[in-house]
Amino acid sequence: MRIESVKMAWFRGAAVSASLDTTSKSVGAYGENGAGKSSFVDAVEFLMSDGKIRHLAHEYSGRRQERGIINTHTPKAEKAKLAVSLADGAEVKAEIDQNGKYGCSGMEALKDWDYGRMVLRQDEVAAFIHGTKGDKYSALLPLFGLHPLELAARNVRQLAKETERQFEITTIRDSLNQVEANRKRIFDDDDDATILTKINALHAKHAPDKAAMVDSQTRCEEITAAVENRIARFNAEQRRHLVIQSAAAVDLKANIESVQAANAKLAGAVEPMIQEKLTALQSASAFANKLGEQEDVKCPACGRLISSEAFREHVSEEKKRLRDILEIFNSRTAAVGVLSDSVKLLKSAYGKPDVKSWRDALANGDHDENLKCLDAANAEGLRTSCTNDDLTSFQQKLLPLVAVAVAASKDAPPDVQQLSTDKNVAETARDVIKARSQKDVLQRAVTLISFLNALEQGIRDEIKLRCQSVINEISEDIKAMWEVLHPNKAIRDIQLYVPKDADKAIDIGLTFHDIKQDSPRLTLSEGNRNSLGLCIFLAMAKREADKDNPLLLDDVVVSLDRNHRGMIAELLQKQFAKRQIIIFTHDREWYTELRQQLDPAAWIFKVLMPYETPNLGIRWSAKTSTFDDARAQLKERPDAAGNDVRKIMDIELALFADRLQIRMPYLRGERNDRRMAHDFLERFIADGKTCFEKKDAKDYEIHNEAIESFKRADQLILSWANRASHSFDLVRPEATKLIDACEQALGFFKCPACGKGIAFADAEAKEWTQCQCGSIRWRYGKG
Amino acid sequence: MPNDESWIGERLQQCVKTHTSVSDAAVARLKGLLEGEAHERPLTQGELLATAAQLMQDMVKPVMPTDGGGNAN
Repeated sequence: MRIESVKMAWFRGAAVSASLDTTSKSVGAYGENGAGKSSFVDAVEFLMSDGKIRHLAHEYSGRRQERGIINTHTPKAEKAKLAVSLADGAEVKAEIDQNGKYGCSGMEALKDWDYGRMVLRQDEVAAFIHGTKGDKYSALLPLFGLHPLELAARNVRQLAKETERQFEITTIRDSLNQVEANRKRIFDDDDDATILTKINALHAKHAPDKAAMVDSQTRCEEITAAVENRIARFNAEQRRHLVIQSAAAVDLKANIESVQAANAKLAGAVEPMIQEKLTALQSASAFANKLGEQEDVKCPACGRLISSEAFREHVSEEKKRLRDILEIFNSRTAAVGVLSDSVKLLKSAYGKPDVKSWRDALANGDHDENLKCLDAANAEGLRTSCTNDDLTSFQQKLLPLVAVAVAASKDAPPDVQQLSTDKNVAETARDVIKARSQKDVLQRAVTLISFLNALEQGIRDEIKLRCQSVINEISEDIKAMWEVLHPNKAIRDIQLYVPKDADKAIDIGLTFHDIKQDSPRLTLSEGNRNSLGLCIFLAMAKREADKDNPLLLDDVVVSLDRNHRGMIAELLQKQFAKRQIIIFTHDREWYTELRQQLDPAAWIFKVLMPYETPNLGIRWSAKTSTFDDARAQLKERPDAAGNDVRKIMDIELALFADRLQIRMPYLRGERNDRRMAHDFLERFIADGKTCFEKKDAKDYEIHNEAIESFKRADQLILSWANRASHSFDLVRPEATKLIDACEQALGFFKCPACGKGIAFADAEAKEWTQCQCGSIRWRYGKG
Repeated sequence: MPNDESWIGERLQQCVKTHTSVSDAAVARLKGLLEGEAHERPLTQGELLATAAQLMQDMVKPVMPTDGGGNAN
């Protein structure tokens, strides 16, 4: 549905009121930088995007947008207001408080509007082209209408991560490894049933008065409580033996060996190697993705030629190897954790007051150095740094302490030994039982995470499929539009593609002077990138021609040169004649060119005044620099009318001179850039006598009528228009004649038969430029 | 979002084929999520937390009677 009007108050650059009235036509609006053009686009975006304006959200990370939305000089009692009226009478409104809170109405009228496909801003044009494959993907996906799928994929990935975090997968794995090690130590290869039988026997022994029907875990806890109850009644000697028993139970030797075995697998220096490998693989992976359809590739490592398929397989195998190494690394981390716990237990046992006398005796004997080593050991610090020196030191100094505890524990009274053993059995059995539910959680979480990962990949496959489908649909249009903007064929075969073996990637291939390129970044200039971005946007817009939603183009030709941007009007005329287009530009020449070329029945043209203060806000100029506007001033300010006419002639004649390849004589210094209407008319008159032709019946003849008109206009400009500019001394009849003469002179560049200006060059642009039907033409090189 | 959302069900079923131990309840919850808000906006941290917990709960299948049957629980 077409836009009828956009009204704003105290929004962005607008003060009390600013309105763009289109009467459902397409609009070409000119305004200097900062005149307020983009405020109209912001207004439409605000209403389309539920109160969000992307370029402001970026500035404020999605918060405090009101700092940019509300006019800085809004009176305290005022709110910012917006209203977009549509051709069917629907109206969408918003009121925004100065704290940023807002309310909207009529939003359902815009439910089919899609910002990414309707609005193109200056900074977004080249975003389709700039950057990596991933950047292109991010820029193109909303345009393709596939952003929701990308959101779905991201959400699924976040769910997988959250599941991993919430259920502490790594911690549970470590804990289960510890339980398994203890189980092996206490129960060797006993199965679950045997362990249960042992627990039942211990329960009958230590807690015969307790109910037999409670579950196994509770039975273990009852056994432990009963044993601890008896231990609490131990005398000092019994307690000493008990502590020695606990020191003897530390399986330090096995734990050291586990870490050593893991170290042997990793062969040292694991972390730097993984980091190095990761970096190399990322580069290799990116390199592999660039290969496209190439058959052979030179290996970046060895320089040999290998098939690209084999190279991809190699990268894939290396990735798997790295994953295996990471598994080993994780096992080592777990082993180091167990060792850390063992050292902690040993320190705790040797530090207890119950064994002080025994410890003192050891210190006075052969174990003084060993005990000092135990005291100095940083058990917790081992988790982050466990060197071979640490392990050697533990083997030499701490294993003797365990051995001496084992020897001493043999002297323990049988009841102490038995109670200690029973306590260990009950506690380990309890952990084994608890581990069953942990295993279940781990299994569920691992399955769920694996499923979510597969689902994310499935969604990404769907995105690739749909991307390719959209690309297939728009490829021909992109090529056709590119050829309109760049008819010289130096760059051709523009083709979007989805790279193999790469998620979140879209790239653009092309042929540059007969050499195939797999990315436009390699060869395209800034201007060419912009026009390619514009082609992609317009190809997508054309695909939705039936929707009749307006297209808003905000300063999208900034880096295009005159030749290329001049073709855009032709493109719009050819491909989007039925669509409402709203163009904002700060390029006065392009604006004038659009006015000359685009159908006045379908387009209106407006000019914004330079922005002065926030209180005055955005204002449209009453002077739109047309001859009619000049006539409107005849009564009050004939001198201003004359001055305006001269400005019109300066600009429009410069454009024609450029298009018709008029060779202007060289002038000194800056005067080359400041040629006036008289400079151009002089050449049009001189060259026109041989170049400007009109068709009479079958043959062309010199367009003498036009030449005479140019002469008359030139005379009046020299005498009256310059007087109007310099001395403000021009009377109404003179100004009237001046306007009529100039309008008539410019009118000769427009064909009375087809209504089109002289703007269509021959295929090679070497011979002539003519109107669409060929009734009038300018032949180059005749002047 | 394209109106045709049948692809979500199809992709889910493809994944179920290779992940047979995923429960129907979890698959149904994910389908509802993907057809709803998950393709409209990024889920908040709170939503992710709650949904992950719900999915884990969905994954619980009926357990066999325990104790006295020769296993340690």
